[in-house]
Amino acid sequence: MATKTKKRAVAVILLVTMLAALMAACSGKNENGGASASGSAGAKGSESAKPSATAEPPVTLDWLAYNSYGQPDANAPLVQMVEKKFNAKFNVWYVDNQKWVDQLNVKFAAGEMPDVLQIREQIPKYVDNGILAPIPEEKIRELAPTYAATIDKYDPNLWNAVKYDGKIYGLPSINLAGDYPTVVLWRQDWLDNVGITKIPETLDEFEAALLKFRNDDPDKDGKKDTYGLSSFAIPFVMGAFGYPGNNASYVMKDGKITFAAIQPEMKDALTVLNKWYKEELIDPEFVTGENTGGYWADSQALYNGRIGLTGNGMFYQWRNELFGGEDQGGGQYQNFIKAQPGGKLTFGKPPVGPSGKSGTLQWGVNSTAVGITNKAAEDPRKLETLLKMLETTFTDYDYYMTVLRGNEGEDWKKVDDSGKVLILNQSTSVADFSKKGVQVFNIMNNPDFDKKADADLYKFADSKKTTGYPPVIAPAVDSYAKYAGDLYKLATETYIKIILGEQPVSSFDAFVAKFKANGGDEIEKDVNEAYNKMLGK
Amino acid sequence: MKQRRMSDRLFSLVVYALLTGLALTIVLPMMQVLTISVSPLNVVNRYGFHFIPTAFDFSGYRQVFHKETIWTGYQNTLVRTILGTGITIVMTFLGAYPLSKRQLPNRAFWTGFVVLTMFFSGGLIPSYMLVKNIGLMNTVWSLVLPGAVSAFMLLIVRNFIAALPESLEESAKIDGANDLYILWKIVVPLSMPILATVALYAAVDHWNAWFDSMLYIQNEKKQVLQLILRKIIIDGTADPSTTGAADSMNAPTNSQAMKMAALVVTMLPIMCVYPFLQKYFVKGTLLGSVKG
Amino acid sequence: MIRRYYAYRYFFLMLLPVVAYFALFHYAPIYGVLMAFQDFRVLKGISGSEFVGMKHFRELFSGLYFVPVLKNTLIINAYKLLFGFPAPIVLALLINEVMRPAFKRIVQTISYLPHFLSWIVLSGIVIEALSPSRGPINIALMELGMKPVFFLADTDWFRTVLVSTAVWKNVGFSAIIYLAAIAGISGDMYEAAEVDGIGRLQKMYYITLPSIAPVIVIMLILTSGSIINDDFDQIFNLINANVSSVGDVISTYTYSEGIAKMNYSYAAAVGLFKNVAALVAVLSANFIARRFSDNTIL
Repeated sequence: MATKTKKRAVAVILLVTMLAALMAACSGKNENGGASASGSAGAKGSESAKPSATAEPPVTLDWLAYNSYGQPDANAPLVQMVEKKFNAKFNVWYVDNQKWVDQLNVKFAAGEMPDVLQIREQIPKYVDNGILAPIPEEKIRELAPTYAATIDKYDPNLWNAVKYDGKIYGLPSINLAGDYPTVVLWRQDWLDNVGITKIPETLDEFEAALLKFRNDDPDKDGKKDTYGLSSFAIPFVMGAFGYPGNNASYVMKDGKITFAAIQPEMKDALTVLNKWYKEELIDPEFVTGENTGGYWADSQALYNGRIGLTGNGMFYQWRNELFGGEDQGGGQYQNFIKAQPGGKLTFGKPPVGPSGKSGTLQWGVNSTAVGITNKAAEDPRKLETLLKMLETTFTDYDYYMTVLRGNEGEDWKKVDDSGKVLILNQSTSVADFSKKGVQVFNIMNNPDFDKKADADLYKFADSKKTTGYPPVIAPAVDSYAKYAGDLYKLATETYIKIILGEQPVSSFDAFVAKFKANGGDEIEKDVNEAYNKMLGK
Repeated sequence: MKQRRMSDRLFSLVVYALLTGLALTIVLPMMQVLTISVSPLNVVNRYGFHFIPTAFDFSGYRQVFHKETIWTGYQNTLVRTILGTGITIVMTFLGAYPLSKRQLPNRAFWTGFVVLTMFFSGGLIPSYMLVKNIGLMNTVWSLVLPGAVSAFMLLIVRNFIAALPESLEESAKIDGANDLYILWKIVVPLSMPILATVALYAAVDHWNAWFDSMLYIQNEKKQVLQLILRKIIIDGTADPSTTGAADSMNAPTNSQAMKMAALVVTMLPIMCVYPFLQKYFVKGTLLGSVKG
Repeated sequence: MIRRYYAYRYFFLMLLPVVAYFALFHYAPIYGVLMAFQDFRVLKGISGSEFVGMKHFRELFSGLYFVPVLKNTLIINAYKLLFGFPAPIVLALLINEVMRPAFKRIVQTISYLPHFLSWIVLSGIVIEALSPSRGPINIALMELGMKPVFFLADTDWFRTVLVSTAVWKNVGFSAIIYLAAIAGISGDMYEAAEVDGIGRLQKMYYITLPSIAPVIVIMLILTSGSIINDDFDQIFNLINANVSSVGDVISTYTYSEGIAKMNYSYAAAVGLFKNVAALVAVLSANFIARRFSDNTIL
């Protein structure tokens, strides 16, 4: 008995000693570990900062305010240029762009955080966890007036999107592409073949054209193997009734946020779609989606000559106007042409519904905001440097083009006095650009400069611009995260069943009740409360 | 008699058909991957079977080989596989041999100390903090040390060594050989089959591992091949209107041919090597399961 | 006592790095389970976060999502066991009936291949092979005038995909042990059967199968212990938002809650629950195994 307890005691003592030694090792190396993550970047930074004339030592910024498609090289000339210009030292962080949120959240949990970062997570979550620091609006307007004015110009609501409890926690950014609705595309050669000269505009004209696509052999192969549309076109058909889409997205109705999927107008939209399905205008494969893999904007149904009307993508993907040189048009347009050598596409407009409504999906200009962490807030120079950098990208065109596109003369050149820019090495991948430090320090896109640089593209885009339904900028609420997945599924499945006729249109009312009862009402209540709170109402 | 022959022949037919069917479920998808990897875009997007290439376009391979990270990924995977397998063999043996000695003081306790780890883990975040705090982040050590020893493998090796005839060691002792000599000249050679098994399993695990690299390696050039492949496959599949991702105009997109080419490039070494190693695996599986 | 340790000092010297390894990489992080009983906040860390007792465990069963996830896990694993367990036995029996050695070797070699490939590679292959526009199954369906199925995005099919690809990956390799058991059957019995004029199917049923029955029983018990352990690598690489309602299992759910959604404490509670459940499952399997034979896991 005695030996047994003795044995046990020895074992316990051994174990305890070992664990103690271990803990000591952990805490001892703590600082080392933190620094090693970005050590090399730091070392290089200090070298280049030496020649700086200012008496003040350079401010160090742990930088994650970029799309990390690739890892920037710490001693790239571009990095050193920016460091010198703003008397700063950058530790550029790298997290895998695809696993951004996941990787970053592990780091947060381990107590690491950068100084400046893109906010890809819901702001309330970051604030509750003590990550984001508020940014005083006066400070923004004082140090980055041009930037602030640009935001005001595009959409003052963007300031609301970054608020929590009435305080601003991020610098809103603009996605210029989101200012343009998704496209409506017709196969021009099919329209020609069935004898339609005017691009359809109303819902009835759409139906007439699609009926011919189905029945009049538009591809002239003697087989009845063509349809009108597939899943990409459904949102703008619904748009003719006031709301695009069948998912769990919000719409603003009478100053209150609610769901598009449960609006009574959608019942009319489903009646039409069900009728079209019975008339065989809809490719039965719409159920599996028009995109069957690969890049999301690809429409295999269109490439295979099954349908003559599509959408969902953006103007730059489907651009069918060539700008000369080796330009071959948008990526999806190229795919289409390769698959259908004689095919022609034309941009149309979303159909106008019985009550005069019309529109396609639109992403909206709201893009990823940039915030600073509580760690960075300890040193006010960090925020000031960030704002100065931001203001420079909104005032200095050459600087902006350099941080966005690389070196003038090497990666791009101006083609005329207007500032229009030609990209010299088209083939360089985004990842390779990132290595050189390109697209790392622009913080966000400057829509005005983008339009200036890419004048041809935006002239084209403006000429094809139609009406769209931009999303409602609503604060994220927990109940949305909790229920939205299931509600999305419920809505999608119900819509598909109704279109297929597996469920009568009258079952729509039962669906609405189910949608509301299973979280719809709860989200609506929460999101409207949060919305008012965000605005400080 | 004749009737039996008939039924036997029918039976044979069914057997061959079923086995051929199984082989086809493996071979056909591989052929499809291979075909897509060398096909031009218009063929890729065409509906229908794609088992045999009808037109050739090697741009997918060019894109893959142009990617620096594929090469660094290969290198990193090789390094971690060799280093990690070496560490695993040594450590597993170091643990298994003492625990195989029945007279070892508190043997049950020390065995239990090892076995218990099969059932509990502190979770991802504490593990991450540990790796970070002991300074392993962004090094190959973060890939080879945390999983160096599997308790299960250690037990299998322990059981194997314990089952070796004791008399060999004893007679060597009588001949005056010292412990180290016995260990090196008798125990190690006799344990070779089971250690080879451990090595093969560890090597396959290391070659295929990616999650640790995703967590612990923040330098793209130090990431392993599987992770690079995962990135290539996933790029551009998510619709920004549903994911809310930032401006997609500059986002990278990979053609299906490139994705499939990357798959082929990743698979090829394994496909070339495993047929020659399979007999060791077969042996190892039996050693492991019979003794386990 | 100390003298006994001294006598074995060299053995302990060998054991030391291994014990240190387990202490460091397996025991030290266990303090992380504390998170499950806290409201973990990033800025405060484990030492500073507030303790909330069993709050997150109550949420497990009152909340909306954990119970469906647990259900998914059990259903998927049960199907994997139901189909994945007999498959290699059948395969071994079939291979045993092949008389041509070359055919036998080729089929076996091919059948091992998926076992050696990672789920990242396999998911790439599976996604391509099940594509609605290029996948052989879908093309065949369309040729027959039926609608193609987006297997990976269809809630009715996703579990079938998970189960069948898991079986497909492992069937060849798992058959090895049964083939070995079959090889160990004495030839006398077959010869005796031959004399009695028994057909091949009967031989398989009356001789081969009963002879390997003990191995089958052991393997069954051993595998059933892993009913709660899902295959993270497989599901993480194949799942998408469309099918998460039927495909999300404990490990992927823990990952998405704890890492992607920052519900660190809740995820820790899920993880802890799973660990305990797994322990219970393995221990009971081991207990049963011990009663049937001396083959045990531990």
